[in-house]
Amino acid sequence: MADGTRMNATGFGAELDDLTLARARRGDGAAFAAIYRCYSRPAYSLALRLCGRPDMAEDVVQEAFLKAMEKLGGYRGEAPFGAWLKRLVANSAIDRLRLERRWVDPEFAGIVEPQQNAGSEAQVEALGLLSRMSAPARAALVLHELEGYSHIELAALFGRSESYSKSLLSRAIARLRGLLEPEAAPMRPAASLEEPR
Amino acid sequence: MNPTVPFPPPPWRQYLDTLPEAEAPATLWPRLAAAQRQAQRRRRRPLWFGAAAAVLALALIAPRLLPTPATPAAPAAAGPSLALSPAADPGLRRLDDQIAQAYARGAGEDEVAVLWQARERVLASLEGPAPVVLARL
Repeated sequence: MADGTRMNATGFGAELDDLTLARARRGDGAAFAAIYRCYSRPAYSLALRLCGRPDMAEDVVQEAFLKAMEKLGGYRGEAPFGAWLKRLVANSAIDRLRLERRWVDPEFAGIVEPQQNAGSEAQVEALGLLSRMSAPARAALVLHELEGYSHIELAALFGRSESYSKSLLSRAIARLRGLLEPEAAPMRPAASLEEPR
Repeated sequence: MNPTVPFPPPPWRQYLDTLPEAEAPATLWPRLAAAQRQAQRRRRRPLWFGAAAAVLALALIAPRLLPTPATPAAPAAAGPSLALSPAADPGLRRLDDQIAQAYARGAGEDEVAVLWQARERVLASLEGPAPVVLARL
């Protein structure tokens, strides 16, 4: 398709045609707009789920798209464009959370993630219970369970061990289960959650 | 079906699977497009400087590379000599090569335009003033 999308594709799985990609490499603004139209929704959704704040999610999406355009010359097409862009969004989000010192696991630090001003109603709905979890727990859940990251990839992204990633995910699932069914899954005591090294 | 995923999926899994996607705010695209234009200008600036330097260098070198005009004593009946043909000019040939390479590697329109302008300048310097031999013809 001329605008870079295929009718039956959604989210990051949408395919980008070679012509749009070639035009974007040459700095064509219309091609850039087509790429944005195609991927802005999944990119923003992912950024919002990871960051938990609409303003930060906007910054992350902007940074990821700018990086994508800058690095487009080096993109060789080994992975689908959407998957490549998804990595850029996830990396930008984690970097931004670290920069703003929000990459803190309350299970270890003993602090609770404050409720954020989540913005519009639709955005609050999109974030849902995830807004009540810490940034690392959200990231582990979203990236592993929804975006298909492996624990090896998560460990590399978090700069921690694979067992840390597994432990973090397990605790994140327990927390989500606790939020959904408070009686069925009481939270485990923090003392039993020693960080594996 | 994946044997590790129980059926029906647990509530937390169903919850994640049904999370709605959020639409990016309408204000994001204008902001991003402006940032992209700015980034593009920043990236192109060194290219412009490089191209301008190349054109300047060429303008300085080109006159030395030009073939010396034929002397009035040269036989008029021999027709225009090969050395007077613009296509034989080394500076022009080099520019033609650069233009071809620029197209081949998919260079931006700005870069190609600079090369074409440089070529036109060299061509103009080759064409006028007319050599004596040609004037007699």
